[in-house]
Amino acid sequence: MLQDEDGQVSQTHSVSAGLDYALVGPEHASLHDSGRAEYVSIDDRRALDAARLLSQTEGIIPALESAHAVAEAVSRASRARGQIFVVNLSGRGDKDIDIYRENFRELDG
Amino acid sequence: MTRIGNLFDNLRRTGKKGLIAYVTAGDPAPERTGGLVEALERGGADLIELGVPFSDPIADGPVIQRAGERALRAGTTLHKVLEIAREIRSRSEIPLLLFTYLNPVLRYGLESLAKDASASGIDGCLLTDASVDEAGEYVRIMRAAGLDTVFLAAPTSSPRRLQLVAKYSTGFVYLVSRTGVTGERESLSDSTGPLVRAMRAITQLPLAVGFGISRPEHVAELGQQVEAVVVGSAIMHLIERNLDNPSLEVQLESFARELKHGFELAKAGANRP
Repeated sequence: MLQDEDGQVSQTHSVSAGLDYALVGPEHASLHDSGRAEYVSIDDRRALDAARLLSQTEGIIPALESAHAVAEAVSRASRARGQIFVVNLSGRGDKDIDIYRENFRELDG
Repeated sequence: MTRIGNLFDNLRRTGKKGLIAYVTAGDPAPERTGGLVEALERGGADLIELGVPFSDPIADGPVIQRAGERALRAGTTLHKVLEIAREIRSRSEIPLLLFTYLNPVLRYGLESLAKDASASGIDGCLLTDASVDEAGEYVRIMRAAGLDTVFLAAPTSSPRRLQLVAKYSTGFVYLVSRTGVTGERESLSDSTGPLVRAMRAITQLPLAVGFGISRPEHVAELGQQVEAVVVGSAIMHLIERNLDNPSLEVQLESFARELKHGFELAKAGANRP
């Protein structure tokens, strides 16, 4: 859990509601600690740009949360030609259209 | 035996009931809490629950939530609360129960807290959101430091859980009168009776009921079933309405007196032919 030195839960921010949260579930914590999974961070800007990239190249509008994974995959793929990447696109972006619109005003008409 | 144990012994021997007052330590400021506790004691409070403010008070309704927010803004930490306790203890023998969510305690360190709380003159601890199922180590550490461990029993607690509460509690058992979060209510819930009966069947420990109690009439009614009654939100609400009022301590003392008198109302009622 993200917390201060007194144990108070930290304020968080993410452009995506699903990730704007101070805690990590026990499964992820366990996967991290056992080394079976690697965890990286992606900022709002990279997630938004990845969402736009996927929308424009594949016609798939991802959820903002999922766009974080797309961002990392795209970043790694360029250094791993020939390899197959599987991205878990955990959600659709219909719910995030307003946020995409706000952040890509240049695309609006 | 702690001051908590002694209190309930004395109450039993003298045929009296106890008024337990909850205050969020540090609201409106850490320097005020000692004076507010003194006022409550003068008014008849027998035991003080010192609440540690927390960023995510899931068991609390809006009144205590706001109290916690004010206390946190005023810089109140668990360290500070222990200092406040030490200050109270230097002037009073009133039993003190540290009332806190688990995370600040985990951050502080269980062993360190047990040692420091005991040194500050605190008599026991109640962890609001700690599961009684996993309480073994916590109880062992507190017990070793001479502190009572009070647990919550709710109308929704399973028989197995009530057994664990009975097994791990010392000092008294805190019965939550109804489902939901803290907050004053007009009338008391029907869930209390069955819960009292269920606990009586499995423990000899004194029972206290809390959540929703805000009036002498409530105290009168519940005082007939249990050894003590807890008032929290009503006290914090009074404090909230009088943050800038120099007569806050006087009002608090009055309120405590009114509530304590509730026990007498019950007796008077019982004596009516």
